[in-house]
Amino acid sequence: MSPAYDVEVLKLRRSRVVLVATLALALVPAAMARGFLAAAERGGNDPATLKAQAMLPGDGWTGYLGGLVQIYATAGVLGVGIVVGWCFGREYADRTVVSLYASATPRYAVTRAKLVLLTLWATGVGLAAVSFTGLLGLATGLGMPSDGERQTVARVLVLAVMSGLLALPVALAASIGRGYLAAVGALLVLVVLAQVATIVSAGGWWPWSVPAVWAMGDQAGMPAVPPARLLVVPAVALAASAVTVRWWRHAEVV
Amino acid sequence: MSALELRRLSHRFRDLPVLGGVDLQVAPGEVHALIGFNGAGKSTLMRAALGMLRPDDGTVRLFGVPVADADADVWSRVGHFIDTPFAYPELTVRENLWAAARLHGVPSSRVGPTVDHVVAALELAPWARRRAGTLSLGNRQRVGLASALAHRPRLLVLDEPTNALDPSGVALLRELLLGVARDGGAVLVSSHHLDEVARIADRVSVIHAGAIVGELDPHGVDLERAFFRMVHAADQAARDVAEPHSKEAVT
Repeated sequence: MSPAYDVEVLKLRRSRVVLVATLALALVPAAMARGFLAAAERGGNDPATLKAQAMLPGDGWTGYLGGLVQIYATAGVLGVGIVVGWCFGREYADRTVVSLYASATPRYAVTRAKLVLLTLWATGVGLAAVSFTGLLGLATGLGMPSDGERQTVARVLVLAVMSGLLALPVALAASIGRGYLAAVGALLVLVVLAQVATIVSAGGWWPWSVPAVWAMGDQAGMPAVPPARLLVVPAVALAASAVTVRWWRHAEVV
Repeated sequence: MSALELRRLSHRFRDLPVLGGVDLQVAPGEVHALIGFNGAGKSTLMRAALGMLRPDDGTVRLFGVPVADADADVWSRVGHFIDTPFAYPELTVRENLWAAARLHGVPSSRVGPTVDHVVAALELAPWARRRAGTLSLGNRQRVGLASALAHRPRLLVLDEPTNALDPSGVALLRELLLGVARDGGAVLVSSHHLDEVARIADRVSVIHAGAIVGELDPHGVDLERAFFRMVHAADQAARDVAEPHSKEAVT
């Protein structure tokens, strides 16, 4: 591995932020979805049950996976975004960025390594979340999913990977804003705009909503999104990554 | 050939001039000290020398290569400690030094002995397996200096390196810098402690209000008096340029 990858892998391995985010993203969305399903199936008129019944698109695996899609659509971008914001913003907050100048390893190589590793990490966490979802469903008596439900599992996996990609632009905000605060602000804006886009029926077009709307599908009353439109997500991630690398190449120490 | 050469370097932060026509050279085998008050321009000069900011005017050459064209081979011969130590708090001291050495071009096959050597040189062994975030300020400073020295650079640029160091750390650093120069390395070090630089420097440049206003003899007597005389003369000259009529009126 090149020095930039060597060093960034070490930093990610030693980070508590990454550890907490990994555990939270892998375990919490599935546990929440299973909890909502349990509440919906319990019946009765208590507010939690009514809310869960309104949120989930059905019973069993269908309801469970439908709940997971809705939770991961937001939690994925938030969780990965926090790690992306930390990974870039910490170099400015801790002033370690100065040590990355005047080095045999150029800053753009460090930036590229960060972005590639964060994408791989987000994909791995998505896989872990989906695996845990399956295990939790089986362990809590949902039985084996049907063919149609297995297709939904595949959609959740795609959603998890896409959510990671959609958080990459936070790196640019952390870099230009030189710290965590700009990253958190940008992340909140992205999450809120995704909600607004869905409410005003633009979710099928707004890049930060497209994967969730596609994954929820018409079962949840969402407009049909052709799979080809998912390509907007890697396009956004690539464009933001390219600008981030360029910014790191030219930015001065202030 | 100079390890570092600055020619007519000028820079402004918005309306504030911070460097004005600075010429400076650091030769191999030489410790060149830069002294001046806080805000005199020492850090800005060093940042420009290392390509951390692009000056409005002038040129910087590292080993004869314009700083904008410096490649991995050039940068692998440069070590620096500007502003903040290379010390990621979640990494141990050894891991930080390993990371610094790798980023500065030390091959993975040689990085272990490199880290061993610099841990011993900076007397960091008792803390080698501790996370940097748990270290005292002085020991973090030592980690930063070790990071700058790990890859055995031929040009070392250090901004106020004795900050937070205890007397034994200062003495250790002094010996290390003299050792680098003895081995043919070039050292540019900034400080505002005159007695400190007098012990190690071959040349002492005085920077004031963004300009090099003269050189002091590091072996001369009463360095402090000479320094203040030089600075006051520079201030007077600047006032004479700004208000030529008031001087004429007095005379």
